[in-house]
Amino acid sequence: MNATTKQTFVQSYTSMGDVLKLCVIAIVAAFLTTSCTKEIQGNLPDPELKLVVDANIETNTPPLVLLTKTSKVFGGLDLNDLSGFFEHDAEIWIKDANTKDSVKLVEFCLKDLPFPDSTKADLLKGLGIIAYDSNAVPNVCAYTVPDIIAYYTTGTCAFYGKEEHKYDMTIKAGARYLTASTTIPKSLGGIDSLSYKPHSKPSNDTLVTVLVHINVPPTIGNFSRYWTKRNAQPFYPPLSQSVYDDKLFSGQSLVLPLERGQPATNTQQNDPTYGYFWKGDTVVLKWSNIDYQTYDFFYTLENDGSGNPFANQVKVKSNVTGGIGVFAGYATRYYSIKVPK
Amino acid sequence: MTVLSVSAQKETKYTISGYIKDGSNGESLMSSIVYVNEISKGTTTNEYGFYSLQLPAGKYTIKISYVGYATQLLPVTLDKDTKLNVEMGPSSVLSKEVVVTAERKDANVSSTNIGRQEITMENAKAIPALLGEVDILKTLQLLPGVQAAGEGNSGFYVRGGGPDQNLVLLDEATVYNTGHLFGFFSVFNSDAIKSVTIEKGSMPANYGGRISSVVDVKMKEGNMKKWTAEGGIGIIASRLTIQGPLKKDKCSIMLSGRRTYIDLFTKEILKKVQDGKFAGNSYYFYDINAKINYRFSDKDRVYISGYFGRDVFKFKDPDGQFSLDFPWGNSTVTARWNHVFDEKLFMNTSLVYNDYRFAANIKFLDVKFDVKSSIQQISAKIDYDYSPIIGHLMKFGIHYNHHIFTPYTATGSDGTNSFKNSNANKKYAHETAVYFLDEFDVTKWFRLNIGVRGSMFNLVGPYKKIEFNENGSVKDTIQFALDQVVKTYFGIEPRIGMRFQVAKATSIKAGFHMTKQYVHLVPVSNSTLPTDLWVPSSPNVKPQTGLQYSLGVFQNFKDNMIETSVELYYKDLFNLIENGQSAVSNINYDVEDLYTYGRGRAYGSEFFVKKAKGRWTGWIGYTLAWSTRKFPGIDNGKTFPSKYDRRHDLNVVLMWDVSKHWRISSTFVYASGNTTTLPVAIYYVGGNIHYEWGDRNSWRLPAYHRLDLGVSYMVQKKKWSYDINFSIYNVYNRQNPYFVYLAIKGEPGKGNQKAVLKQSSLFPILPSLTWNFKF
Repeated sequence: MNATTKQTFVQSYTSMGDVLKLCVIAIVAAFLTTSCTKEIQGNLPDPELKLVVDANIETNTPPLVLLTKTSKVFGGLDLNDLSGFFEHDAEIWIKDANTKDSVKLVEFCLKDLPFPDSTKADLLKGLGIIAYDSNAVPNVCAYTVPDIIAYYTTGTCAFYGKEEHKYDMTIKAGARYLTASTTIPKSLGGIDSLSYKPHSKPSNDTLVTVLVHINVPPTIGNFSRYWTKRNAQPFYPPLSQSVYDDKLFSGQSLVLPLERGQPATNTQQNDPTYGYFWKGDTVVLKWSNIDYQTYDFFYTLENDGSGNPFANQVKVKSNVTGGIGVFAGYATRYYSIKVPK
Repeated sequence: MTVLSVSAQKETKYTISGYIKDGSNGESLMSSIVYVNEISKGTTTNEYGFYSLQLPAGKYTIKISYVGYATQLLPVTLDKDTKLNVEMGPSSVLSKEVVVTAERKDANVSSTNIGRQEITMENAKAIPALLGEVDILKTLQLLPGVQAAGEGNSGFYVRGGGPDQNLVLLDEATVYNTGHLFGFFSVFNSDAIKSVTIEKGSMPANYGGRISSVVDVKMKEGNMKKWTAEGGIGIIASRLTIQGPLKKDKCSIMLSGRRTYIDLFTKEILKKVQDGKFAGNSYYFYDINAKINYRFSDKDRVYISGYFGRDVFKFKDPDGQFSLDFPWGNSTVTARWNHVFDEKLFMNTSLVYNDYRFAANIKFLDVKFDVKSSIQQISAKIDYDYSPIIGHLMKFGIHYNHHIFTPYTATGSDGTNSFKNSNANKKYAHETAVYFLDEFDVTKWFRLNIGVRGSMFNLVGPYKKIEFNENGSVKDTIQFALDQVVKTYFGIEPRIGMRFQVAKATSIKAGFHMTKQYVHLVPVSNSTLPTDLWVPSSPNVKPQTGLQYSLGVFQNFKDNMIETSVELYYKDLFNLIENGQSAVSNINYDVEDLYTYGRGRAYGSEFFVKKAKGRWTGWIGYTLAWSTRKFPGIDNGKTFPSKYDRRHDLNVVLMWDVSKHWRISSTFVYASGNTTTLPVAIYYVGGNIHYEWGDRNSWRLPAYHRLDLGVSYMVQKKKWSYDINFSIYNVYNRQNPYFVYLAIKGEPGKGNQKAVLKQSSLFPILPSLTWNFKF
């Protein structure tokens, strides 16, 4: 049991079902130490292969779309070559339903960018993708605005996200046609401040828990997602649960611990530092308000039961028609704290 | 004139009634046959051993017979209402008045009950058992039409229905969770049990509340004649039952207990291993059954019985940061009063309390969580048995249940915040039923059991429900005050069973029943877990309804030595409940918000051959069956196999009494694999691999099969007896699948990742040794 679970307990009062499942798993794990596990052959039904949309638009930021495809479990794409999953040459349009402005997105692939591999590896981290071998960075492709390079150099571009605007996306990829919509809601903020406290165990004196002081708005029906950043690292979402609703806590003031986000591939269930920050860190919290469909996607994705025989096999709720995945709109604010050494 | 006066004179009728009991201990004998040779008619005793027959004045020979007991032939001169209580002796006693039989002659052929079967405790104890623990529910699962949910799963399936569709009664108290440790062992201590009956076909009108079956388990009453003790010491658990008269033939008591004890041995060992890192880890379960009964007179008798059982799991991680205390279990208390008004009318009044609870007390560093959940039921029942004329056995009565559902109450703190959500989503309900049935001979060869049950369910306040719009904002908040009716459901449930006796040892039976179910269990996962929740019907959750049609042919051979039957059934099921495809369980919200509703169908055929007498006994049962579901909210309304779909189910049970000291027994089971849902595609989002799930239950696990063998050495001394039982579970060490899952093998970035299908199995070959004794 590690800090992940602790953070989950305190932050996620809403997912105590996981706690009970954890109890059951703990018991069965004790039994399974005497059980047998073996690989078996099985013919899984051939699925209908779909396109996967991982798209977002954020306040003051241009839209970004990763377009990939599903693969058969057995005999499909090579899991070791992420590049093979990408769908190229798609025609993607995003329209601002409020202003009627629209933009056709352009595909950029890492191999075509004039950056060294180390820079490319850092760009990937921001997408949550780890390049394990800096000499073999996967050729990740993304669709975004034509003036993206100018945006990274000057901070401005022609098409970017605005609060309380609705965005419609259409994708034409070969014979497939996908649509999705999202709304960037009003940014409600509600974060009063960040603070920290030392780790409960004196022997872990280099670690701290960062606390967030929240005033939850009084109306029910607001949803949030968060990421954290440590020093020069990119923003990562927490692995246990990154989205929240306000059904239980509307109108209340709370102090909750912040789980440090990190890439999933670094998950180590017995890592005692998991979820904590270090003394000396500059911690930035990225807190976004999202619409219900975006919340529903990440909530079902993060609880989809994968690998857990005691969980319901949850079908992820997508707001993409004609495919799966998400088009997410974020109304974002940033908060930071410098933890002294 | 004389002829006219004779024809105008009425025949005077009298009633003969009484109790049939075991002469050695005073236990009542349910379903004993009381037969009048002269008119070729009879009746059976009710569950309290009471019978009543109305006959014209005259001389008769009354034949009393019951399985394992010597049949008695008793001459009676009937010239007034007569009380005839009979104490039966074991079949080894011979006299010129008695006829020895090892089984009731033709009960399976002659009764109207299609789909009714009884397990004898003798058979249950003879069959080889997992780790030596005799289990009546596992014995039940060896009958056709009754299927095990699988290793590691509590509950059982009857004719394609779910585990919550079986009403399991222990002395009239509902038992909600019948399994210890996920169903590895049932909660029933066989030493405390007298009889087990299952109704899976045409359910008589005096039973209701579930749509698949009723399993009626009766505790022993307590020896009215002398004090006895019996028990056993096994590998996993030991048990002891003491029973005897507090006042001979008036008042008796029975106390029975069972406990596992592996934790007692490991407690001291764990303190010493690795500096006591693992000290504090333990698992154990226990059961306590208790009963007292007092016979005030032939007319009045009172019983009070109770059951209390718990599983307790404690875990502490080696670093001492995390600890978990996880108890769960059932409690029941039943108080009953039997009253005989007159020889024709018998009444039983019962008051029952039962509950099922679980709790999880978790501590991690400075964070504490305590979660509790329970379902409680308080019941009152009045049942009458009325025999106005010979050949008619009427039953009628009224049942009332008050339900309290507490899904979750939770408190927690982390040193900075505290959290409490008590009484969240607690629900209250009243369930009432009235019924009437009559079983009678329409003609000499055609017997009919016809009845109707009227049921009503009221969900009452306090009740609060928040309804949400599609964008997650609040649409409406509905509130009801204490006892204010939130929703009412009614049901009229006809029940018909008929038997056509086409020859002495041949009958055709047919049945139809409609049943309603107002409380539901919707498991979250493929397994039935102790943390699964029972929920009531509500404005959104309609009662489940089942219609079942059955037809069967019953044929006995060689003077009832061999019983055979073929039964066909078809079930239509309405308002079934499943978790929605995108449902994520969340204990702070109303679980019914996760549900989706649909229909089901189950049909099949059951073949059964049983040898009931002789040195070799046993049975072969084979079921060929289908069970499907169709839900608009699942897989776009496509029909899919239900979780309980088991195409083939074969059970072979053999027992050989080699000599008076030795018995060999064996069991072979074969079952088609359980259905499951597996991922069919993988994709990346946010840099992580995710699975896309296939259609619900579209994959089938490998078949389950297993052979068990047992050898018993039995010794009968003058004042006591014992037997030593050696058994082997899973003789050829088959790795039967517990669950199947997809895993990604290899390390990311190393170029060796691939998806693999894995199967986890639980029980390898398991020998066990048990010593049983009886004083």
